[in-house]
Amino acid sequence: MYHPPSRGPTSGHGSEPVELENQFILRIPSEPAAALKEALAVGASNIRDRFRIQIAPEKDSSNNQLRRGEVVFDGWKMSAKMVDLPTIIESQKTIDKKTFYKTADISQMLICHEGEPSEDEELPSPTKLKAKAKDPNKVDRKFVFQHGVVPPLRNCRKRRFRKTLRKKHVEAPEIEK
Amino acid sequence: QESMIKVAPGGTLLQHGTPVVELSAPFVPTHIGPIKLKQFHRWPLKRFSHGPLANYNNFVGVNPLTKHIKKKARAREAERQAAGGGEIFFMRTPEDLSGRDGELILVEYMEEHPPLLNLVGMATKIKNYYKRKPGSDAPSNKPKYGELVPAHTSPFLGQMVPGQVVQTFENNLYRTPIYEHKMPTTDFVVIRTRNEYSIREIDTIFCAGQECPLYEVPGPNSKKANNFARDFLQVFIYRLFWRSPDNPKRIKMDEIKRAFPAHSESSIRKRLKPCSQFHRTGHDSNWWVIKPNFRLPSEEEMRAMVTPEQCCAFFSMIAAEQRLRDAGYGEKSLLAQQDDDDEETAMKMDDEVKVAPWNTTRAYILAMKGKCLLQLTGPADPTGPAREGFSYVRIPNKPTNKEEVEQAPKRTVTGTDADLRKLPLKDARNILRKNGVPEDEIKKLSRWEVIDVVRTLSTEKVKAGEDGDHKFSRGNRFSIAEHQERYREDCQRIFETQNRVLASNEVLSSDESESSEEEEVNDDDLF
Repeated sequence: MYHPPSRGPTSGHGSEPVELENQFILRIPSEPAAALKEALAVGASNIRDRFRIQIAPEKDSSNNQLRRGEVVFDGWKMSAKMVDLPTIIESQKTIDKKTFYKTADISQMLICHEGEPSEDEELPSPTKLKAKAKDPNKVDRKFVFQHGVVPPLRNCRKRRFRKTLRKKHVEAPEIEK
Repeated sequence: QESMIKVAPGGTLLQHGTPVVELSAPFVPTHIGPIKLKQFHRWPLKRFSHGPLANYNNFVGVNPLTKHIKKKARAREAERQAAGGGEIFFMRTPEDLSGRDGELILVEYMEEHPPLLNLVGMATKIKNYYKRKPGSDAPSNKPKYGELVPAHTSPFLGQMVPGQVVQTFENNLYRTPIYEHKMPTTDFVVIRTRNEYSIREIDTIFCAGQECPLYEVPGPNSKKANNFARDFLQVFIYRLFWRSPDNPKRIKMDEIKRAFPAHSESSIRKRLKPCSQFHRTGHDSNWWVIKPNFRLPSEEEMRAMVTPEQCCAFFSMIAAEQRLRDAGYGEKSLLAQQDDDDEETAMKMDDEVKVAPWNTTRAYILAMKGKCLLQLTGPADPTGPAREGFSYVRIPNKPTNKEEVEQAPKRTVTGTDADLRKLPLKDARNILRKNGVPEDEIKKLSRWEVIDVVRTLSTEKVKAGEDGDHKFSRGNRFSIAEHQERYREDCQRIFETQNRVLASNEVLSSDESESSEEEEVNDDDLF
């Protein structure tokens, strides 16, 4: 997606071009979640020091999307993986509770659990490696999340989304422009 | 009654954030390449090459936003007071459109590929449609968000019952019912920029049902789509001229080419020539300089030339084209259009093409105008195996008796002995006598009344499944009414199912277990 350098009246202050912010959902175990909520609610000013995130691409992978992370909050050390949600979630802001302005599309979630990442996830099987070699853009299955966030959209990839029918006899390929 | 459902969103005008209205990047991209089209509205986390977050091995502290939110709210209130109170439009800059301040809610779409979606910065209203109950003007519990709108006629395919409130998300592109849910207590929203992470606690997440499109997605290579591409480029060029600090204003071809890599240089030149002249030599060498007598359109005029809604519809089209190509559908399928009264092409059209947004949005809008009915159950139901949505595929208003069509295609009466116009009155009266109609009754009837009875008797016998020669039977006279009645019932059933299912916070136990490996393999093949 090409974004030409903004220079218009709405493009902020000269030097730095405008960028859209990324938003994602952070899911942490209920114990640290409750503690974090409490800290946010009382407006603790030291959260920046207590709560820290690191997200990096997966090691030994040809895919360079940011998938593996670690999240630290007070005494909790959590390993995290960034998964693709099945749904599109819009983040909408309002100041009058009537009109809403879209601030971002959310389609990823950072799932955290305490301790190290589990074994089976660390070592990709040979078949998976092979599949990845074929198409570096393909998302590995372990990063494809099955559930939406709201209860009715649980398991929606299987239970609700209509399946795309691939055409059996592919029409003559077009010439790339 | 269907035709009474309003298609256009009524009431107050929507004002989008200024950066979007001005089509400025990055809010409105000028070009979306194949990879981004495959990710349409599912943008993965960006990797940064510079800035504090560029080194991904670093741990980065996360900012709480409580103070920032309060500060922003106070600043807005102060501005409102300074202006003497009243309504002020606050969404003027990119920063105003950040999720880091204001009240934040989430809306999760139940459709995998909603036919229309807003760009960041665009506005939507929450409208709470309320069907009045005799003796009370307001619902017993008012929803937390949105404004109450009386629903004299239902704005949905199904009817509302007195006292019912249906919350909707409504903008110029679509209306969709929404269902309030609590955000899981384990979940937060993290906002990430090149410079920092911030975190917010979210209270409310809505589940959005199937969209009711209010805006048509143009078809590939349609006049509408091609005109848009032309105007979009033209307005970009005008704005580029406006930004030029030089006198006379001048711009470079390269900047346009970078923004519109899919356009040929000749097509760009075509848009440049009416307003400017290329200088080969001299002071302005290699610049396109505005013609002295050319008046650049004003910002207002440019806003009218290309709207954010047009951009959304166009992007929806090119993203769907990409999906179809990826699934093996070529140019021929993509260009298949359903003519207004051509049911034949609709039959032959691939299901995947029927599901394309240019076909579903058009079908829905035509149906709302009473020009056709919708198939309701079929391939365009976005809920697939759950069968809980509407299939927006056009079917004719009049019933087509499938069996009849299959058995005897085009049963003509004209020129045969089944032609009632040629049936002698004497014979017609005999038929009535045979069917036990009293003689004095027969005498009272005029010729056309006699014929009418013949037709009715014959048709009734066919309906009752009696054997024999019923050549005078004509399709069921009440079938259109019955057909529409069944249609209304189906609409109502799906409407109620959606309302029930998407509002429910019950977690089905069968969904808790991780799906089997086998299923996932199948999924891979399908996608």
